Parts: sequence; structure tokens; C-alpha cells
Amino acid sequence: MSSDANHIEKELFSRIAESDESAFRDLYLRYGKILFPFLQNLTKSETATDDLIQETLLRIWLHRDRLSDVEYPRAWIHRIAANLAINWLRKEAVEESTVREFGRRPGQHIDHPESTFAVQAIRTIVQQTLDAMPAQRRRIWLLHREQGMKATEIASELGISNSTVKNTLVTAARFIREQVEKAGYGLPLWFITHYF
Amino acid sequence: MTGKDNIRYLLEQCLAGTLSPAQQSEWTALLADPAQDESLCEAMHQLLLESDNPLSADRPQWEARITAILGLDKQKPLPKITRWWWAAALIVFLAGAGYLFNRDISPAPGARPYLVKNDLPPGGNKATLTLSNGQQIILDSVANGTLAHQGSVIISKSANGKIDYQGTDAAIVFNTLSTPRGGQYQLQLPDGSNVWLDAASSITYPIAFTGDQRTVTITGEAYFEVARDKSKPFHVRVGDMTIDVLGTAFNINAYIGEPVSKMTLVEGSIKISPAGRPSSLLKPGQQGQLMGQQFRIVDDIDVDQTVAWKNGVFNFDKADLPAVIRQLTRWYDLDVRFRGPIPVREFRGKLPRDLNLSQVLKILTEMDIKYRVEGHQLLIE
Repeated sequence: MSSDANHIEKELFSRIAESDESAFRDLYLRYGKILFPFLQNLTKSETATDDLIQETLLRIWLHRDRLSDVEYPRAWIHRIAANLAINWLRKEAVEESTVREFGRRPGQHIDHPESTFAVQAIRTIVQQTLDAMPAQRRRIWLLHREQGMKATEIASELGISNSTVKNTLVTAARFIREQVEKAGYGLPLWFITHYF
Repeated sequence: MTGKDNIRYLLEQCLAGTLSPAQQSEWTALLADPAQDESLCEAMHQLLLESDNPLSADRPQWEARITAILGLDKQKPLPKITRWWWAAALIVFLAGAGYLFNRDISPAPGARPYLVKNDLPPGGNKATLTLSNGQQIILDSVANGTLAHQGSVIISKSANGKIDYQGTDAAIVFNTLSTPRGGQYQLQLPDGSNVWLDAASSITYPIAFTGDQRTVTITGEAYFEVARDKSKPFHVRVGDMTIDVLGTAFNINAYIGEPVSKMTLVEGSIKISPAGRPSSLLKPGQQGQLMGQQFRIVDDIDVDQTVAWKNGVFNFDKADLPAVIRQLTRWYDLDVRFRGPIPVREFRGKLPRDLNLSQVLKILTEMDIKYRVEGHQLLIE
């Protein structure tokens, strides 16, 4: 491990420890491209890879106060990801043998209980926030978020203007982020909107 | 095989998808044994370290995916709801969260002023250095001192916003220094020549000028002060053009987004050879202009204005609105949209480049142009 890279990584870590969201994003850019293929090859599942990366990022962010003392950031991140991966593989192996024994149909979705309390909590908050939103706003959000529709598509689907849709999405995202923030999970907006 | 080697081997087989049935049982047993967690974790860490290959074929696809998640992908038509406002402190974000967008701007050194809603900070000393093996060093917040070695050549950051090359090596190996939008950087080449890069620009150069020529390639905008060496002519390649230099100072402005590429000579003498056309010799104060296939030389250029950027200044004298806008978009990382026809104006005046956007945009108001800033969008009525 080159000492120059380590130096840069330690600096990223100390910025993240101070809640610097752009450093957190740079971290994701820097490590994501190594973690993604590794986890994809390991789990053979896109969903699992996404989940594991989400968990890894979440753990780093939620415990960011500990980051400034880390001597080798790269090893730190690798270990978090590796531990999460091992847990996943372990559960997966158990599920596999259950499937073989009880003969579930192949291709059936295998549920894994969430491994952190935080993810469950954030999901609940997001759900509650959505439930409390005005119907139109929620509809627009879900069309975009769950169905992957673009603003123009949503606009024509609902018979409203493009800019109304865009403004609504911004308002909804901001509102969700505020609620998550109030609950004590100050996550970057892109993180919330992508993973939740 | 020892325990550790075996663990690593199984892991490699799992990653490659080539576990034999016997190995599969071994692998399952390994996973089921918590005592092996540490070793397995270590094996994964090693493999992750080794898999960091910037030249791997599928790297771009993963980068594209991450970029899309972060909403940095400007190809997407939707103004991303994944955008967010970077702030020096989380408190500023909470209080001011009116518009959300993604940003690539890292804090400039020193204290940051409080940013008013809908304002943007100026650019700063930001760049990425790519070494011959593809390794990238982000220079924004790196400390002064030695950055890297390329053979016997030492690359150091000598001051804020400047790197230099010391020593020499026989290997013919290239590095690239590139600035993002909102970035600028200075480089001292192996021969002592100095180059200033403006925003959204790059320069590719060898780590040492072996041989009897000195050749570099640039994109965007760069200002050169070339060290005199009659025995080694200096050449700059930009697009299809080559510029031959004899110990001089000159500015090249060749952004792809600009209709005209401009080579301005400050001091000394340069020869410009646009592809497929006869070469032209320039005198100080002259500017060679390349527009598509057409080339011409203009006399009595306002040299001060041409190199103002390098001196930390915007010089808008005699500039029209599009020219002003183009400078702002690169330095503040803006996208611009016009509601109606483009207002015809001739600007004048100079402003420091370290101002926030809102202060610079006052010149638009002075020229009776209405505008609005939403995140990184400038809307002109």
C-alpha cells in the first residue's frame, strides 16, 4: 500500500469524521469501483451487492466519529465489507441447505433479516414519512423511485407540468431527508434516495 | 496447503465461480466456522488490495454505475433528486436546504465564507495527476512534499496549487495533469518550464525530456513560460495543431466548447502549424485563431485580458455575454439556459476570480440582464 494513497485516504477519513459529505462521496467513488466487482463475484447477486455496499457505507457514516483515529483507512473499509460479506454468505449457505431440504422452487426470493438496526429504523422512518405526505407528492415520488420513471414520463402520466414534477421530487426528497435527520441519522441525500 | 493458503484458494475459486463440489463443501464448512472469520476476512482484504487495477476492463462500467447513483451523470435528463448541496457545516445544509444538487467541489484551503442560498463558491486549486501506471493522485488536499516517484524522477507538491518534477530518468513515460471544472493548477515541467492550467483542462507530458525534442499535449486552456533550450525545441500539441516554441511565454485557449481556438504570444516567438495548413510565425501581441478549418492571425491583442485568468482575475473588457458566460461556467461549474434570445451586450471591467458567484453576477444586473441561480443552473431571462 503506497504511503501517498494512505495519506490521501486518512485525509478523506478525517473530513468524513467531521460530517463532510463531499468527502464521503469521494470515498464512495474511490472504493465503490473496487468493492462492487469483488462483492458481485462473491455473492453472484446484484441485490446482495447493493445491500452490502449500502451497509458498508452506512456503517462508515454512522460511526464516522471513530474515523479520525484510523491508521489504515483502506484496511478499515475492506474489513467492514468483508465481515458483512461473510455474514451474508453464511446466511446464504444456511438458506441454500434449507431450500435443498424443503425443496423450494428455484429462483424464489430469499429474505435475509436486516443485519443492522439502523437500516430497519431508517426504512421505517422513510415509510412513515411517505404515509404522511400529501397523496400527489407520494404518488410522484413512488413513480420515480419504485418504477424508475423519469420526470417527463411522470408529467405526461399524471397530466401535469414537468416543472411541477421536478419541484415535487425535490420537496419530497428534502422532506424525507429532514425526517431521517431528526431521528438522528444524518445521511447524505443521495444515499437515502438511492437505498431507501 | 497451509490453512491460510487454502482459505485464499477457496475464496479465489468462489469469486471465479469455479468451486468443485468437494470444494463447495469445504467452502460452506469454512463459512460456518466463526473461528475462521479473521483469516477469511484477511484473505478478502488481500484480494481487494490486489484487485485495485485502474486499467481493468470493467472499471468504467462500475464507475458509471456509481456516478449514476450519486447523480453526477450529466447525461441524465432529470435534475437529479439525488443531488445535494455541499456545505462547510451540516448546519448550513439544514438551514439553507432550498435546492439540491450534486457537487464535485472540495473545500479550498483556508476558512470558507458562509454561503448564501443559491450562491456558489469560486474555483480553486484542484487537479488530478495520473501516473504512467494509471494510478491517480487527487491534488486538492494533499500535503506539500514528495507525492510520488516515477523511476528516478521525484514529483513534489511545492506549494498550494503547484507540482514540480526533479531529477531525470531514461524511461519514456507520460503523466497527465488535469483540472476539473472549478479547478486550476500549476506545473513545473522536468526542464523547468512552467505551465498554468485553467479549469477543465489537461496536459500530458513525459516525466523527463530525453531525446532532442520537448513535446507536450494539452486540452482546454494553458499558459506556458517555456525554459530556453535551443538544443531541444519545445512543441505543444493541441487537437490537430502543433505549436513550435523557442523559449517564450504564450497562452493557448482551445476548449472544445469554444468555437475558436486562440494561441496568444506574450513574449518570444512561436510557430503554429494547424493540421494540413502552412505554418505561421507569430510575434508578441499577436493571436492565432483557428475556427474549424480557418486560421488567421490577429494583431494587437489585449494580452492582459488573455492571461488574466492566470493572474486570478476575470477580464471582461469588450466581451459579449456568451464569452462571459463561458468563463463563468468553467470556473463555477455552471450550466446555463437562456429563456429568450441572447441579450447583446459589451462588457467591461475586471473582477477577482476568488469571489462567490453572486458577487460576479452583479455585472449582469449592471447590464440590465435578469437572471436566476438555482443550484448549478444559471437561468437568463
